[in-house]
Parts: sequence; C-alpha cells; structure tokens
Amino acid sequence: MRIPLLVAALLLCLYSAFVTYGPRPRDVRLQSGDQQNRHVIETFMRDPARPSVVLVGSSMTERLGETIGAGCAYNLALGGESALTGLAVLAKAGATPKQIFIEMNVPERGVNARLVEDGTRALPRWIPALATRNMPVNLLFSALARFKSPAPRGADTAVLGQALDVQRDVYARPIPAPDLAANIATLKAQVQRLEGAGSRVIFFELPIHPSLEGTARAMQIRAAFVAAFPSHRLLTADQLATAATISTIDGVHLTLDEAASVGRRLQDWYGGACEAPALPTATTSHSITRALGHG
Amino acid sequence: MNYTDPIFFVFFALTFALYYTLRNGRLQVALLVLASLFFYAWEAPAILGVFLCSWLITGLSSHGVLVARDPRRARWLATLGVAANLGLLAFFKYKFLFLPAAPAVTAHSAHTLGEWLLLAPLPIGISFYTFHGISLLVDVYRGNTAIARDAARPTAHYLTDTLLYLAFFPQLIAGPIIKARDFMPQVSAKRFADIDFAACFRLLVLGFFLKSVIADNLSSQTIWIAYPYFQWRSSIDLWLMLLGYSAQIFADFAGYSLIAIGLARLLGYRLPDNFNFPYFATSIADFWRRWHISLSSWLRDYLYIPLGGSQKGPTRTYVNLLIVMLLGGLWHGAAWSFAVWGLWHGAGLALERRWLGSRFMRTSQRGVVGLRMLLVFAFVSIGWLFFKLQEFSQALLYLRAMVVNPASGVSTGMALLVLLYASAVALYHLASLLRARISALAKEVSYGVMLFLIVTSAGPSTPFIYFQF
Repeated sequence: MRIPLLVAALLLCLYSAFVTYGPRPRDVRLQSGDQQNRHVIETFMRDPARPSVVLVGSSMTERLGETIGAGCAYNLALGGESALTGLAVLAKAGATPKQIFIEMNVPERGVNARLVEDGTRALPRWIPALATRNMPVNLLFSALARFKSPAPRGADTAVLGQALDVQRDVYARPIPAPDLAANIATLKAQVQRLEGAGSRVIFFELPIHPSLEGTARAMQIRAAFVAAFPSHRLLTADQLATAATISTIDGVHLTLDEAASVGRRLQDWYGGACEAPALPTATTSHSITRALGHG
Repeated sequence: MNYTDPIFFVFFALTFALYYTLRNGRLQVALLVLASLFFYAWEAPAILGVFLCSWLITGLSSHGVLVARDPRRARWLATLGVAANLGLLAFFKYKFLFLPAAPAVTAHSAHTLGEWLLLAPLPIGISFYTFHGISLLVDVYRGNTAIARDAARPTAHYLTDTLLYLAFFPQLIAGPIIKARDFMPQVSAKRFADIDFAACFRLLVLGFFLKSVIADNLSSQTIWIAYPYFQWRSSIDLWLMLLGYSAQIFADFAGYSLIAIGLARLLGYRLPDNFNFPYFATSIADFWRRWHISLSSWLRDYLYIPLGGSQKGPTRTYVNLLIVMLLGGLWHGAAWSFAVWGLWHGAGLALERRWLGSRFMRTSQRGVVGLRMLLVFAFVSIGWLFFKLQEFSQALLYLRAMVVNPASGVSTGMALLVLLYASAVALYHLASLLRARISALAKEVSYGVMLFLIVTSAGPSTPFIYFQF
C-alpha cells in the first residue's frame, strides 16, 4: 500500500511541475460537455470579480460563445443546464457584475448542485494539475488530435427534420406548473440578491425555429417571465433575431453564423457596462457538437 | 448515495470507525443495519417502507419455515414468501407498463396510499433485495445446514440478521447478489485486526479506476447513442460508440462490484466475485460464467435447475435456456428491449449448444480461440444495444444505421477517446493472462498510476448503470 501511495504522490508532483512549466498545446481540447461546463466555471472562478457583464443560460447561449467573449463579457452559459446553475455559480463566487443577462429559454431545468460544487472547488486553483483543462488525457488528446470537432456531415434533411420533431414534441407539452413555479421562485430570489448588491439584470429570449414559436411551452415560458418580472427588461427573440428566417441546427440551437449575428445584437444592449479589457473565453471546439444533443 | 459522492466517504468513515469500536457482535450487526437503512433512505425516505415490507415478509416467512415441524406448512410458507417477493417486484417494476406516460399527479402529491403506491418510483435496488429474499427462503426451505443453526437462536436475532442480509449497504443497491447460505454464516463479531487492508486497497483502487476514469469518461462519448442523434453519425462512428459502450458497461459494473466487495471486506464480510474477464469468453455459455456471475449463478440455482436444467432432453434444455434468459432480461427492467436482450442471449446459448462439441469450439489453437473471442464479443456488444436503447424500434434503427447511414466520415476525437479508454479495458483483460509474470513491484506501481489517474482524470460523476435496476 505504501508503494502505490508514493508513486501516486510522485506522479502528482511531477505532473504539477509539467503543467506549470512544461510545453502545452496551444489549443486544449476537452473531452465532453461536462468537462466544458467545469472548465467554464473554473475559468470564471479564477477571477470572478473581473467581468463587467455575465451571461447565464443553457447550451443555446453557450453557442454565442466566441462572439460574446470578445468583449468585456463572460459567457457563463452551461450546456445541458439552465440560467439557474450559472446564477448559483455567481452566488457561490460572491460575484456582482455590473450587468447580468439571463437566458429565459429553458426554465424547466433547476440548479445542478453537483456541477456547481465540482466547478467551484478550490483545489484546481491551488494545484493546476487538478484543473479540468489540465487532465492528462486532455493534454494527450490535444496533442494527438489537431483537428476541429466535426459538425455533422451528410445528415440528410429527413434526419434534421427528426431532430426538429423531437423539439416540437417537447414544446407541445407545457412545463409542469409546480416545477416552473419552483424554478421561477429560485430565479426571483437570485435576481433580488444580485440587484440588492447593485447588479442590473436583463432577461433575454433566444430565437428558436418559427414552428416552435407559438407552441404551448414557448407561450407558457414568456407569460411566466412577464408575470414574474414585470418591471425588468425582457429582450424578446424578435429583438435579437437578425432576419425573418432563423437558422437552427435542430430547432433550438442556432447555427454558428446565426449565433454570431444574435450575439452581436445582444452586445448592443451591454451599454456602458464594458470598461474592462477583453476577457479570455472558455469556449472550445467541443461546444459545437455537444449542442446537438446535450444542451 | 453514490459510492463516488464525497458524502459517501464521510458516511463510510463514520460507520467504519464506530463499527470497530464496538466489540459486541450483536451491536455491530445493529450498527450495520442502522447504517444500511440510513444509506438506503438517503435519496428517497418514503421508499424505505417498501423495503421494510419486503424484509418483514421474508424474515417472518423464512423464520416460519425454519421452525416448522410439518413439511407441508414449511412448503406453504416458503411458497407464500417467494410469491410475495415476486409480487412486490412485479408490481413496482412493471406497473409503469400499464400507467399513462405522464400522469397528472406525482407520488409527492398523492392523497391516498393507493395513489402513492401507483405513482411511487421504482424502489432502488428492489431487483436485488427481492432476489436475496428468495434466496433466503429457498435455502431455508432446502434445509441448508449453514442457516439451520439459526433455528435455535432468538427470533429477534434471526430477524436482525435477515435485515442485515437484505440491507447490507455495500451490496444493497446493485449486488453482487450473495446467496443466503453464503452470507448468513458470516454474521458474527468482527475485529479490526483481521482486516486485510492491502487487499481492500487494491480492490478499491481498481474499482474506482474502472468506474471514475474509464466508465465515466466513456459515458461522455457514448451519450450519442441516443435517438435521434445517432443518425447524425457515420456507420463507423456507430460501431466505435458501441465498442465504447461495451467497454463502459463492463468498467461501470465491474468497477462498482469491486468497490462493493472492497467495502464489504473492510467491514469483515466477503461478497462473491462478479466478473472474471468476461470479454475473454470463447462461447456465450462461457461469457455467462464470467459476466455478472452472482446473477447467472442465482438464475442457475433457483430457476434453471428447478426447471429441469439440461436433464430433460435437448428440446426442454433449449426452452429452459430461453425462459431463464428471457426472465433474466425482464429482471433488468420493464421494457421490451430487455426481453429482446434476454432472448438474444437465450437464443445464442441454445444455438451454440448444438455446436459445443464441434472442432471449432473445442480446439485450443490460438487463432481459432481468438476468433471465437471476437465472435462472442461482437455478439455480446450487439446485445448491449438493446440494453442502452430501451425503445426496441430505436435499437433496430441503430442496427440498420450501423450498416447504412447517410452521414459519412469518422469523428476523430470520439474515436481517439473511445479507443484510448477501451484499450484500458483490453489491457486489464490482458494483464490477467500475464499475472504470474508481472513482478510484485510492477503491480504496486500500476496501482499507484491508477490512483494518480483517479485523482487527476475522473470523468463526470454519473450514477452506476446498474443502480437503475
């Protein structure tokens, strides 16, 4: 038992030295959506007081990634989660940015406490070898895989239509009222806390496929936010859409070009909040593929 | 409570410390029972009632069998106990087949006991503790000498031991299924000095490595085996993902089993081995002697042999194999795909049986043995598809897409990661062949490397696959 423990400790010391001083791949590839989320949170936690604008949301907002990161804003959107998890991270960090943009699209998802716990651990800040991006497999993977995560190729329109059908099925059913009420109540508490600390909160609704716009779920979500936050600014999908036709990959996730356009529109609303220099983004190429099924 | 949750470590450390400060065997049993019930109730306290009902039925009826002087009364009580256990399992597991997909009320908002029973979720571990209950009843009825000693003991002690057998937390949720005749004689006072820490350490490191590093990281790649997303992938991707899932399910379940065995040994109990390098199997029958050994031996002892086994002619043997594997499949869940998975293996076992005497199956020529291994692995891997995609039509669609799919190319990243993690599973199997040749120092160093990888490279913490059963 003594030898394995010594070997593990020695390897940890050597690896820590390597990630601190050794050569590193320029572009680190992460393995999964979960790792991407943890990396986004860990990057934020390194200096939570720095961003003037923070966006929280699901994979729908995550797709705005690079556009948003080019300014003073930090995109704390998490694939497979909702704005509530991002807000829980803000609360745990004690951060109060000047402006917080909250995605309205998937309020049925609650707080992922495990992710918040994992992502905000202090150890990765003290021991870089334990940071998600520095996992040995990620460095090996990055060194070996000098490629872009491929977007789906050759999937025919029938298959794309099936993905949209899945979303139509989801959007045809309203969110169970108790679940929505509970999450809106949590959101209200978070918003009150942030506003009490001096932050300005703005809600935004990302555009979705036109056939989903008038569905039971979409209407229910809009109505719930209007009722719960009557005096707040709510940016609607119409305000953020740049053209009459919205391009999505599956009905809810914008194509990269569309996401870039919507992201630019969103930046117009930052106002004078951006005074700090540009921030690094936590986006990796992985976020493109994961959005197809995970976010 | 998941074995990989930090809270579990706190729970186990406290239980372990208190357990060995108690010198009295009865107090140790009482503590383990309380800890096990706390562990069980952690996620869903309401479901504890179902578990306690199962224990009362099993404990009282098996005690009745134990002390009965009239064989007819013993038989009647044993039958009643087994039927009640099966009824409980059938009700909670298969009621969802007959309920509307999205009921208007949930178990939380149920007003009456009847409503609650109908809407309550599947009690965790019910498949396992009902099988334990049946094992106890049958072993007692058969007059197993290891348990017969219990007839002379106070009823309260017997019932507490029975509760420990059913609730023992290292194996409560997902086994390994230990037969009553193997567990009950182990219930006695345990001493700290008797713990083989080195063996426990090795079991736990290997278990956590397989689960946290291999299975959890693979789960991020196999997540795409989901409808309709797999249709966006090329046929090669689909084959690779299936390979990944074969490695994942092994690492997940074998990892869990090793952790359970290691934890039990720390508490002074020995649980049976559950895996013996199953992907080295050279026939389907061999696979089932190596995979989920505790379930397959339970099915053999309590179902296949009572049905007549292979003693009643070839046709009856084939029918018995199909019945046992069909029920074994349905034991996993209330979905037709589990039935198909069971029948897939049952049909494989029956068909293979005809050829077991052939030269191809009997030769020890390396190339042929390797080919048999590959064929069995491919057969088993295709079977996993029915396990993963619980909608039968989707599994068929996946199979078709493995042959023809409009999408083309290979997702290099996914391929690289699947091959990397699957190769660790292959290496684990290969190491078993070289066990005798590997020096003690090399083995120790390899445990150190695994420990380092557990600390630095654990994947997203996902529930054990078998926790859903």
